[in-house]
Amino acid sequence: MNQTILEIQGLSKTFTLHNQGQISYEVLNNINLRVSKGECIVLHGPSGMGKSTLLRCLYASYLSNAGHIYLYDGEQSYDLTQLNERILMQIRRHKIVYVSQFLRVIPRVPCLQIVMQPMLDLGYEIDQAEQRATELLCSLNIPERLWNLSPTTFSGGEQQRINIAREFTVHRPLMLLDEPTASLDTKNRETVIELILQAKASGSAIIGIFHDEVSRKQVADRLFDLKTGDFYD
Amino acid sequence: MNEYNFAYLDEHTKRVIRRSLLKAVSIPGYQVPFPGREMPMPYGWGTGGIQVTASVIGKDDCLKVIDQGADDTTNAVSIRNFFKRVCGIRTTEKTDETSIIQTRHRIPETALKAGQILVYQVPIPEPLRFIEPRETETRTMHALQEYGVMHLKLYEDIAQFGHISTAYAYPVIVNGRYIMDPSPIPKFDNPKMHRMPALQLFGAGREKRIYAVPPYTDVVSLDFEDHPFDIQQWDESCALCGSEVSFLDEIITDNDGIRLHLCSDSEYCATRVGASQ
Amino acid sequence: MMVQKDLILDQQPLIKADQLTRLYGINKGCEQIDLELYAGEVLGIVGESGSGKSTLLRCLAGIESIDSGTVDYESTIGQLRLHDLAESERRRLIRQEWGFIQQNPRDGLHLEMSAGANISERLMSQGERHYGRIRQQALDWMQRVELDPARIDDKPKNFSGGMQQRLQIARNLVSGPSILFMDEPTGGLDVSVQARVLDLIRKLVRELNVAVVLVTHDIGVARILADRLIVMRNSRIIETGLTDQILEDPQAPYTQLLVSSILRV
Repeated sequence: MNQTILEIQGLSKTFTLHNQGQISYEVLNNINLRVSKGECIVLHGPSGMGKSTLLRCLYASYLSNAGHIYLYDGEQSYDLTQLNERILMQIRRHKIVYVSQFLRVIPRVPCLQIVMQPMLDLGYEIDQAEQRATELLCSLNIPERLWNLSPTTFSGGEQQRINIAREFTVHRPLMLLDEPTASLDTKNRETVIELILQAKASGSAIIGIFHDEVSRKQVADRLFDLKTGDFYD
Repeated sequence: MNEYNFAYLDEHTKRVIRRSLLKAVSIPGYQVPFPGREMPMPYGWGTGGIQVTASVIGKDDCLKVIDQGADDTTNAVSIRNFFKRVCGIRTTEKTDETSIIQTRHRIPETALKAGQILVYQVPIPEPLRFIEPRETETRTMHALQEYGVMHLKLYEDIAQFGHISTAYAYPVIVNGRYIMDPSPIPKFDNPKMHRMPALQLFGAGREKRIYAVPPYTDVVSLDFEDHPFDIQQWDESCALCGSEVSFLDEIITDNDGIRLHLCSDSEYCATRVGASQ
Repeated sequence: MMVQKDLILDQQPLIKADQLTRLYGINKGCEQIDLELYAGEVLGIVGESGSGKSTLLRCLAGIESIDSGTVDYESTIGQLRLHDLAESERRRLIRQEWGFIQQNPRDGLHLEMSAGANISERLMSQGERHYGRIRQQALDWMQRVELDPARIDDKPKNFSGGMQQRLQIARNLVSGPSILFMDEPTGGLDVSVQARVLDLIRKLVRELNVAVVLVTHDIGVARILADRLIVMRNSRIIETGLTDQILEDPQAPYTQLLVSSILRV
């Protein structure tokens, strides 16, 4: 299982705030990193070091200033820094999942629908999508009576679990996880760790940020230090 | 002593109107603007029909004028007398002896023949006016055949009444191209327009529009597949002549509400009564 | 719909604008616009009042003439150069193959005709002549836009603003358009009503796989509906990109200003 899924070469990211006196600050400098199929790399370092920034650059939410991000998919390879928006949109749908800390809640959409949506976008049949969605909602302990409600009024932990359910419905080659276990109790944390391990077993490459040590120990194959560029086991 | 030009209008005006008529005949159902003249009767009294008749009538023509099917109403009589005065031509009530018929709101029951001209008086020539008040817009709609709105009206009728309730001025499509308002004739008369051997001319004086249906032209009433066009029917027959196929007027004869059904076409009725005696 | 396994790399744009210019004053209108619209995506055009976004929208929809440049449309019968077409063809496009949602639903509806008639109009323009089928489709669409089907014979002048807007959406979508143009679709609505209309638009756009060009000055609306954004100012494009990238990592000074001015609720 040594097949490379993602290769980051010389990635740099600087923010320039034009309306605040042209302040410029560099967050990422010459990041080099390779992730293999079935491997989980955890980004290491104190807050503000750019861990979330890196994930966002990989997902194309942020534009990198220099460097390349190669995504390998079977025979194909894609340089994510050079692709146009249209292809990026497809890549996001098919190849990369980004689990952020916040569930973007649109009023009125029930949580079952939220979890099903990525599958529906890919063309899955409704009953298929519903079955998989309910499977995950159950394992993440979201009671059935909440499934047809919009998560706007749910607790942070519940929203987080719905977010996770949504992003773990379909296998994808690359997963970017930003503190997925942050607001969870022990039981649910265990479930999420299990989901991550399953994803690894089915071949997903994972880059994650975990502040909680328990999760980190269970899922990480290597740790990557953003400041030094070194790997730790 | 006749101080008027033949048929009241000067020759130049007749030429202008004939040009409009020629254009109208060339484009069946299309509304041609024309420069209407001041007539000795106000708008709403048939000035459009009169100007058309005046432009086509000749010394040897024989004229019939009807109003709601009758030759003897005030307006029919007045218009007939007007033409007698300014033309000196023959007039008649007999449908099959006439060369020109000017009509308000009915087509004669007796089938018309090739060589005859039927001139309709038209109040509002634009069939789309009910939904689109702007002339600029309706002209564009006709040019581009944007006729979706016309079926809207029929849809609304069915939605509201369960059937198409339009009983007169029922819209038609002429020669498969233009949607036309046939003037406020009852829908009963619409089928007569289809492939009629006579020439049909339409004049709207106030709106200053002329249109035409040449002989043997297709004129089809709009409808829905599951609500096909149908004509009025009566259980009764004409109390005078017994006709079961003509358009009947319902007349209340006394204060007790006794009613009679009589043919609206007075000449048709009288002829049948005469024939049976 | 089949599960899409592979990426589609060589898709042709539905609409391609090349140096599109329409100005009616200095910096008023749109100039030198290059953009592409692909099937199934929602393209948002954002900017403040006077930026030229509505002008751009109307030029793309073929309902406004242009000064220079081209707009090409990939129709089912081949590529059409929009402003070379006869007016009748352009009108037919906007009435049959495309839809246009006006900001004020009163401009996009026949207020004096029933809701059902409003929805049915496009069907009848396309030649549908069976009253029963037309009515059934109208009823279905009333439900799809969450209007009470029992009100199918009511006139929209008696509807609320949100209901009128939803009726306008139904009226446009019933003919299965390939592109939907929207000019501030929730602009005139109360905030509480906006959410409902936006959600409906989102749902229907996804279900029908319509391409959408959406003009709005409200970044929140753009965030919810658009896949990609174009930022305009003084008739020019300042920046384009994926919606989340524009909103989270704006590059141009003006875009940063615009995004930072959003009140975070």
